[in-house]
This record gives sequence, C-alpha cells and structure tokens, in this order.
Amino acid sequence: MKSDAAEKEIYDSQAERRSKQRYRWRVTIGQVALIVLVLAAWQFGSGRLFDPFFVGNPAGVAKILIDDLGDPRFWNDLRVTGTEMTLGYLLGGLSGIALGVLFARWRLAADIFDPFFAGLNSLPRIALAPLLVIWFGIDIASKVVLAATLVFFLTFFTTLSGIRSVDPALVDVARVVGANEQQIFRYVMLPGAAAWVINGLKMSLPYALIGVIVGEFLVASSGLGYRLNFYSTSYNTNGTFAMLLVMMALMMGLNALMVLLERYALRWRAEMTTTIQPY
Amino acid sequence: MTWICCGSQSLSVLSLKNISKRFFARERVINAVQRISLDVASGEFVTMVGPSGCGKSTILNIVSGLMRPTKGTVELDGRPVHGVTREVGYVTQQPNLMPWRTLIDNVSFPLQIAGVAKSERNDRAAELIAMVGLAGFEKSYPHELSGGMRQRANIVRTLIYAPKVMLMDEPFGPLDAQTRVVLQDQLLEIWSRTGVTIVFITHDLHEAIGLGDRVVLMSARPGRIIRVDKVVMSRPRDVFRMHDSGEFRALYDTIWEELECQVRNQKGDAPP
Repeated sequence: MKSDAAEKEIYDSQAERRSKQRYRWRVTIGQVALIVLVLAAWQFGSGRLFDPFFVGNPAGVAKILIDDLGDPRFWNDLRVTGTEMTLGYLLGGLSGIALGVLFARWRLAADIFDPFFAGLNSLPRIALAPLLVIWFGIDIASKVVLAATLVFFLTFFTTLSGIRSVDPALVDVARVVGANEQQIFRYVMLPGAAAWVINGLKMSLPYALIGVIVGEFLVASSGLGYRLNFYSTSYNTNGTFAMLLVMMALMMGLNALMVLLERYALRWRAEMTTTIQPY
Repeated sequence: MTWICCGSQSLSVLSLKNISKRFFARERVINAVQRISLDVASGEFVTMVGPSGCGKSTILNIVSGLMRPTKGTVELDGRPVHGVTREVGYVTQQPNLMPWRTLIDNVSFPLQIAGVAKSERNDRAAELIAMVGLAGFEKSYPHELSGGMRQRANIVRTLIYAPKVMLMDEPFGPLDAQTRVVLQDQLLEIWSRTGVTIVFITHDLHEAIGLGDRVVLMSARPGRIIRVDKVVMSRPRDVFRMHDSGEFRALYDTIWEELECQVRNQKGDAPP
C-alpha cells in the first residue's frame, strides 16, 4: 500500500514542476509589465493630463533617487531609520511574544488585562507621539518606543491566540504518554503556536516602519521620515515619491526575508502561505 | 453481568469496577455510561461494540485517566489508578500526529518525554516503523502520508513505550475498506508478537468478532454492558477470509439481533 502523495511524487513531479515554473514566469512577466505600464502612463500623463507640480514624473523621481544614492546624508538617514526600526521591532516583538506566552499560561492575568490592552492598542499612535517625545527625547529612543508599541500588541495577541488555538487532542496525546505541564508547553503548545507567532511577526513588520516614520515626522534631525518630510514641505513632489519608493523597496526586501524565514520554520506545512498580508 | 475468564480472575490486568459517568450539559444531566464492570485478562483482546453515542469513548477516556468516573474505580493489576499512567496507552480514532514533527519524531515522542537519548529512541522508532511497513518515510511529515500510514504511526507511537494495556478507539473507522483489513491483520500480528492487552472499540460488528477474544455488547445510552460473548474461532485468524466461516456467522447473527434492537431503540442522534 503506497501513499497517494508518494505515488504522485514519482509520476507527476516533472510535469508538475514545469507547469509551476511556467506559472511563476507568467507572474513575473505580468509584474514587470504592470510596472512599465504604470510608469509610462505616469510619464505620459504628467504635464499633459495633470500638473507635474502635483504628480511629479518618473524621470524626475529617478533623478532625485540617483542623486540621493550618491549622497552620504541619504545613507545616514537610511541607517538611522533602519536602526530605529530594528530596535523597535525587536523590543516590541520579543516583549509581545514573552507576554503572550506568559498570559497563555496565566489565564487570570490575561482576563484582567484583556480590555485594557484592547483599549491601549486602539490609541492612534500619532496622538501618543508627542508624549513619547517628552518622555524619551527627540532622538532615536522615542521612535524606537513608538514602533515597539505597534509591534508589541500585534505579536502579543497573535502569540496568545496561537497558544490557545493548539489542538486539545494533541495535548491529550502528550498527557497520556506521561508528559508534565512543562513538557506539554515545550513540545506541544510552543510548536503548535509557531505559525501564529510567525504570522504576527510578519504582519507587524510594516508597523515598525510606520511607527518610526510617524516619530520622525513629528520631530527629528535625520532619518527617512525626516527626509520625506523635508521634501514634501518644500513642495518637492518628485522627492516625496522618491522617498516613498525607497520605503516600499525596503519593506518589500524585509518582507521577502520574512517569507524565507516562515518557509523554513513552517516547512512541515502542506501548502505555503501567500505573501499577501491581511490588512 | 461480568464474564469471568475461565475462573482465572486473578490474572486480570485491568478491572473496571462499577463505572458510571454523568455529564452536566445546560440544565440537562446525561448519563453516559452506567455500572460498567469488566475484567480484562493479561494479553487478552477485548472488543466493545454498541450503537453510536453509547459511551464507548467515555469508557476509554476514563480508563486512560483523562476523565474521572462519577462512580466506580479502574484497577490495574489490582491497584486502583487515578489519572494518566504510562502503563495504559491510548490509540485515538484520529491519528493526532503532531504536524510539525516528522514520522520518526512523532513515533519516538513518548520516549523523548521519558528522557530516552535521541539515538536510542530513533533506533527503536525506526524498528517499529519498519515493522508496520513504513520504512523510507521516517523523515516525512504527516501531511505527506496517507490516512492509513498516519494511523499506523499512531499505533506504533503507543507501542513504543510498551504500555501493558492498549486502548483503541475505532482506530480503523475513518479508513477505506481495504486499508482497514490490512491494518486489522497487522494489528493481530503485533498483538500476538508483543502480548499487549488490548481493549478495542468499534461500531463494526465484523471487526469486533474478527479481532476479539471476547466481544462486549453495549446498550444505547446510558451505556451498559448487555452481553459478553467469547469468540471461539482459533488463532491465528485470517482476517481476509474468516467472515465466511460458520462459527463467525453464528456469532454474528446472535449479537446482531441484540445490537439491531439497540440501534433501533436509540432516541434521535445523541451528542457524544
């Protein structure tokens, strides 16, 4: 008796792989075509259909990008933003996971804190930002904390839900073979929640950038948000678009890294998750 | 109502003494099982049949220690047991393999819990995996295996820590007819080789007679033992052909008459 899956592997793998490859090519071609089309329409429309003062144009954006890439001050801004983001993400993510794990084991605390956490998480961070600047100063610390407050709640809630959603039948399996609470937690709860935790980390990645940029918008002397703010307040549309593109590229790169990490950590899963995120 | 095996009651490894279980569900009291008493001899293969919802799984949940009886006690080797014990293994209807563990890591899990060194537990797991014909799939994840393969993994995961008593809750229920017979055959082989005591629940009377030394028939809820029949067919049995034998047919017809009665008497579709 052979498994259906194993047989399929033997007979269909060649054809299946070819058709998958073809499909991936079509996706890539479609994506390139989409970029070209949007840029062409933008370049064509700017000055003809729309005032370039408001919409800029791709050639102008490209020029600023090239100039900026040769400017050490741009790289310094990127470094500052990157540092703030990384620290905020780590701080928020690690504390979110730690508290999620703790509250999953300590139901009373979870139930007491639940409504307050939901309330705190719904605060618009832009309203919180001035307070954080007063508390943590105008330098990097206030941006790190702002990003961390966004990342924290997302990873906290997903970690908690993940541990709570572990199949009770698997817990019973462990219990029957004599596992104690520690072992159940380590061998069943944590690996069972891994998919949720990783998804939380993936979803909160863009929020780390949002937090940092909001902070830099408010008060800063360097960083991508500061640079973006500088361009937009000086009515430099192309410069503004250039910074938005830099942020998009940064996030797409980081997201691709997260997808690789997810693929490795969840290699036991039947089907891969998509890169489209639910927000 | 207790059937005493050849007067050798002292040999019974597992005793259910007057077990009752009552559930409270939204202003309703459900008597799942009532006054269940059963002695199982060491190395015996006991099968239990009954209409669905008759509390068969409740009995196994109690014997495994996952659930407390409202009344009565479970004794292992004459000593009452409370809670789970590694002397009793439990093979559930669903394979319940951990999806993030490979086949070999799933099978060796009970040894990991017991603190057995990795190389030793892998050796023992590989041996059992080969015994049920899954050699070559050690590194596969559960989603890459068929239903029958997963269920075999579920069974050897319990065998690996050599419990005295193995409880099995309709383990072949979700499988197709052919896979089922092959696994029945393998189970009998394993049973005769290891000498493990088995309490096996099924809703399939063919399976109950074909595998068991004794068949316990249960009533519709509240589940009670109606009768216990000894299966006289000799061992080793040929699960592929024995259904044609006269002994099989005679016992089947006798038990079916009462089982049919219970199935027809059932009031609606009861929750588990």
